[in-house]
Amino acid sequence: MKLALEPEERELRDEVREFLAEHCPDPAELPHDLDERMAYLRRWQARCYQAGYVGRAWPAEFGGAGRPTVEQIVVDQEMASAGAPERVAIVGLDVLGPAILAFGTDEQRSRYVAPILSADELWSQGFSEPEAGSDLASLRTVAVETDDGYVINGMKTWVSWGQFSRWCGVLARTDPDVPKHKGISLLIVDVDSPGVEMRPMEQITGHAEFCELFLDDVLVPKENMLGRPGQGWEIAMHVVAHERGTAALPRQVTLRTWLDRLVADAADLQRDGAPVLAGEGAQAALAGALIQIEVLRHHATRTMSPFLNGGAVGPESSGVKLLMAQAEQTLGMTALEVLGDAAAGEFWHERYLYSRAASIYGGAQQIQRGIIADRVLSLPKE
Amino acid sequence: MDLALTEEQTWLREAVGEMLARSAGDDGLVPASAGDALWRELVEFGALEVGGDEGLGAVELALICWSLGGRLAAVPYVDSASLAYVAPGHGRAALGLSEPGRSFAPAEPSASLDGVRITGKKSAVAFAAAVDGVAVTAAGPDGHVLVLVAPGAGLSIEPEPTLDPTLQPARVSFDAVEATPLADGSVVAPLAAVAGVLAAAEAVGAAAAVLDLACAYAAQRRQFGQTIGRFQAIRHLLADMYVKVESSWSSVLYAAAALDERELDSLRTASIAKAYAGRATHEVAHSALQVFGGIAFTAEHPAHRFLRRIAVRSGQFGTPREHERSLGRSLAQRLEIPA
Repeated sequence: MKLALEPEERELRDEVREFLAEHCPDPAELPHDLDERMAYLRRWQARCYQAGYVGRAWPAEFGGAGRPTVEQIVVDQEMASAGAPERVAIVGLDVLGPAILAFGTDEQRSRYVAPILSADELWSQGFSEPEAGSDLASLRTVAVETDDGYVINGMKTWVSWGQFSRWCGVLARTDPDVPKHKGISLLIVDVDSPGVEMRPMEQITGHAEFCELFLDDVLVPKENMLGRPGQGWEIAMHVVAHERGTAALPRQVTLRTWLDRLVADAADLQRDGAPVLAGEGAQAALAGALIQIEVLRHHATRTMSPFLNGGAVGPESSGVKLLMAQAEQTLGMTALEVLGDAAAGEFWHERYLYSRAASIYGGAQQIQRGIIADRVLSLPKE
Repeated sequence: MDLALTEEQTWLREAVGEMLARSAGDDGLVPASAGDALWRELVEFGALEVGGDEGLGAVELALICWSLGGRLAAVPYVDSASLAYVAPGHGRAALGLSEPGRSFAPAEPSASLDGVRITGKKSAVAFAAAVDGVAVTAAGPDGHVLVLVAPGAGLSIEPEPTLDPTLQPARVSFDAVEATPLADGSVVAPLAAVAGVLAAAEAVGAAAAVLDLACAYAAQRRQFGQTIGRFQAIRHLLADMYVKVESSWSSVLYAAAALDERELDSLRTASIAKAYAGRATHEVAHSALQVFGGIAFTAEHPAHRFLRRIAVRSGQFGTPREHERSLGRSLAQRLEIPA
């Protein structure tokens, strides 16, 4: 047990700080137009990759830096703390890249991993369907094996950044005759293939971050199967559980910077002739958000400790996921409450609206509770 | 950035767990009658040997408190260990940091020290009548001090009403009672912080134990023709209890490690842990009663004993509300507030 960074980690932190002081883009610099913004963010990730700050713990033979996992966390926390733009290849970095590293062939690793790190190729995930949300394993997209490869038909939804992706990891049913979890495979789909259509959907925040994906007789070469046929569910659950844990620490830092911004935004506000921040109600609400955010750090650090020591993160990461949603939603709500609708402005309106998705994406709150009940508390099955 | 227990810490927790298992009755809890013998065992084991290269830190003390909480042991360990953390060598001790009719403000005592004699009142002093000394904050001529008062020195001890009588809290009054100076006022904030963290550790231990009981009950109790643990309403309640217990424990361990490593914001982290764990464990106790249903309202069922312990430990050394208020105030004051 040691909270303080090791000397080497401290050096890395200082190095990242220097890098950011010189190179970190001003948020105001980010182009508003989505296409330009994506191009800008890809350049930013490429620059970070060149500096050794992306894929720091990924194997060196596939383009990573081969360093201890804790170093990536140190880097990510510094980036979040400086308000640096997020990694644009997020789906590849958090979900499909780790899946390829853990379950892919060496050919697949050599082909796909490095371009994820450099943001040369973006990935999306085709998991959810209109009729398979929380009950993901009941998905209806099918992949039929032919001599030329797998032919996929179906529809996917919530495909984040699908319109910018080069590859999509698609969960499809390859065997309808076995129990539903066992007949699913994960296929790497070239988004430029004939029969693939990505349709952006506007979200409540006003952005079109995700797409609907239509797959109409899409032919996928057999070598694009990730893992074994029928292993798709296992792969998806493995990487998603892992992501629930690893995403929390940098997210926590981001939430902390937003809380500081909230205090700053509230500093000049008056209500009933008195400073808003002098009110006990505002102070209590801010303290509540602070506590949620800090406890998220404490709990994510403890939950991630086995992973940093070479082990794996299991279903306990569902607890981190629940706390992460709670912290994010508490902060969004606190901003509205303390600032009021008008003073909250565009920044906080967007944070607030987006926070409502935090208890839905990546497995809804109710799914996380079910995972804990089954796999951590070993309660009788529903 | 590692909150995993070391091998030594794991060994310590197991050794204390075994010691407590030997003291426990059929219900798994340590009976009040076993308190004195357990205390001697803890001392012999080295549970008060704090500091230095070999000694225990706040993390180890928290592990011991967690185990004591799980068995609802009634020994003056939280107070004694907290005092040992800032001023070792005083054995079985109680802390007098609260004053009757006032919010928790250990750094602003109204008790006063005139030379070597202290006058004033302290409340919620756990095990006041059973310890070798009461450590008390007082305002002296040269600032605040922490002093030790021996029970034989003429202080008056009146038991106070409490939800958890096993902790034997009392109001202690001093009228020009002789006191031994322990340290200057600079130790008061760290003392209150570690006491809050250790009280929270005991509450988390109790909450973890009552969660285990509730899960076992849900897996066995049948209604509507099936075990109630199959009902989503119960499963989700238990899952939320689990998250509260585990995140509280993470926060307590983090705060304890921050104190041991003398992190810059360790006092604030301790306050966050106390506020959060206080509220969360209290909610866990309430939810446990809900899972047990009517049986939890019988005196013989252990649920109310966990509830009582958690309620009192959660409110000790600053209620969650008091900690939240001070955290909110300092957040707001980080920026100059125009008058």
